[in-house]
Amino acid sequence: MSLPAFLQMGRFTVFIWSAYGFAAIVVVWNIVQPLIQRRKVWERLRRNLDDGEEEIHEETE
Amino acid sequence: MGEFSSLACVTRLIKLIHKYGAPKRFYELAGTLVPWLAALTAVLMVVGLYLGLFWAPRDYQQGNAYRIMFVHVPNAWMSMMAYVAMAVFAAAGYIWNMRLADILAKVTAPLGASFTLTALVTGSLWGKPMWGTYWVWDARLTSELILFFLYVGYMALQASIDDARRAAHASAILAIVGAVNIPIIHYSVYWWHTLHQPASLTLTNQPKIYISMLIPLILMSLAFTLFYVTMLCVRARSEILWRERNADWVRKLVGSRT
Amino acid sequence: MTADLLGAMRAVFVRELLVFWRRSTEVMTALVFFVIVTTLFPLAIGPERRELMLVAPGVLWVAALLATTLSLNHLFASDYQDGSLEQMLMSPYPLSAMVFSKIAAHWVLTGLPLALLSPLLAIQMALPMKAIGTLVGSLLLGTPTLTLIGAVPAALTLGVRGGGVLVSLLVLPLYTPVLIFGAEAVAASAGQGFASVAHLSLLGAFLALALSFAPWASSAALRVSLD
Repeated sequence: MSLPAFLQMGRFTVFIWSAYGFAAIVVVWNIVQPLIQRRKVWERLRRNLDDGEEEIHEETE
Repeated sequence: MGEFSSLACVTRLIKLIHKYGAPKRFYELAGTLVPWLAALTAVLMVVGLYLGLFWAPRDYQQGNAYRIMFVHVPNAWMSMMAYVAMAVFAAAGYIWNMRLADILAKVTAPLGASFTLTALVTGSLWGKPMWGTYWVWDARLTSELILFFLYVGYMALQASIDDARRAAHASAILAIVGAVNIPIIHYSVYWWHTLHQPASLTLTNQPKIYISMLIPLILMSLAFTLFYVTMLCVRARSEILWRERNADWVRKLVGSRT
Repeated sequence: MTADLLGAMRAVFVRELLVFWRRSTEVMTALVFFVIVTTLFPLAIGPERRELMLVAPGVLWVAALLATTLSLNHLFASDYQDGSLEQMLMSPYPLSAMVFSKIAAHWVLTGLPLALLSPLLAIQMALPMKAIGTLVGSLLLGTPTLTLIGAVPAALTLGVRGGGVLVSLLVLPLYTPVLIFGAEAVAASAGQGFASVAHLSLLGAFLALALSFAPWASSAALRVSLD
């Protein structure tokens, strides 16, 4: 099956691909957001270590 | 006698939980597991998508529209499983004061909410070709919507309490009350729906499920389950680092990586 | 001991009634809210009696539900501020029993008048006479369940920022079964005259479940909030 024929899902093309597209966006967001979060946490932990031992910023995540 | 041995069993189990339930141990264990879990998830998802989109035949009634099932059903399944997992983690954290369980419950909520949202959106996109409208007060969609509200409430409560321990315990009670209520809500909504639309179409009963449709469906469901476990580990690791920021092992870890 | 406990529960109940009575404006707020919200609907929909009759069960029940939600903020808040909740925590009697008395008093002052007032609003909403009995019955069975369930989020959000709105966010999804069967009971007896006994008995079952579960859950919630 050729690619254009595959992409053309008959009458319901728009619905099928927007459903898959939305699911893909959510999955990607679910991967990217925790990675950003992890980087933020590391940066903050490094900063805390540099700032001296006791001073911990009580920031909300 | 039997009582004694079962008691011993329980103590052993609790010891085991304490060993791996320590945030530090979990951090290390999850760190080694994540790449493997991620790889397995990716493989399952690619194979599932390939089989679902290419290999599975058209449905003679729904045409290709039924293929939305391969994302809708796994997300709907995970939305419910994540709530169960969240309530179990929350209860464990509340009853045994386990910090790790508190963390796991907290990081499950946004994942579960996103599964619920995806199930809702894909469900309504499936509904448009089937029912002719994006939203029908179908029993399944309605209880999914209420589940979404429950997740939102849980996250709102978590976010509005600063003290980590109080936030965990308060939201744990809410999660348990929600878990008790979910079956009641579910059956009420089903009853309400059958009363008002006695002979309506339901989404998943429509196409007769053939084995060629079932295989991709199972693969995708497994993929989303593993995706949840993977992202749970990733999120929990960050949360552990932040909460244990004053512990020696975190300081050493951060110090060794600057 | 049981006599003592009952005595203590009665004391809390009477005290609550007195306290609430002295701040009667707070009690009235929920009732007035109920009246105003139901009055808004004919203004929005139009005075057509047939249309009003169609939506009346739903409107009356949603308004009652919102009024109950609104009143939840007064359930523990003042006792939390003046420290009498902490005293209650230290009393020799189980907290859940004390909480139960508080909830009962709160219902007597909010849910009960609401149910008794509902026939007037039902006439306003063109609900048939034959359904008014069911309306009052369903509210009498349903509103205590709402107050009992609502006590848990009310206790959880004590002293939390944005408490008031948060309570409604937490509690409204939990209210859906009661709403479904309450409104359905009224609609059934207003419409083709279906027997509403089944709905009412389910509401009774919900009430029994809430009675056995909510006092424990809300006292656990209070313990967390007062920690």
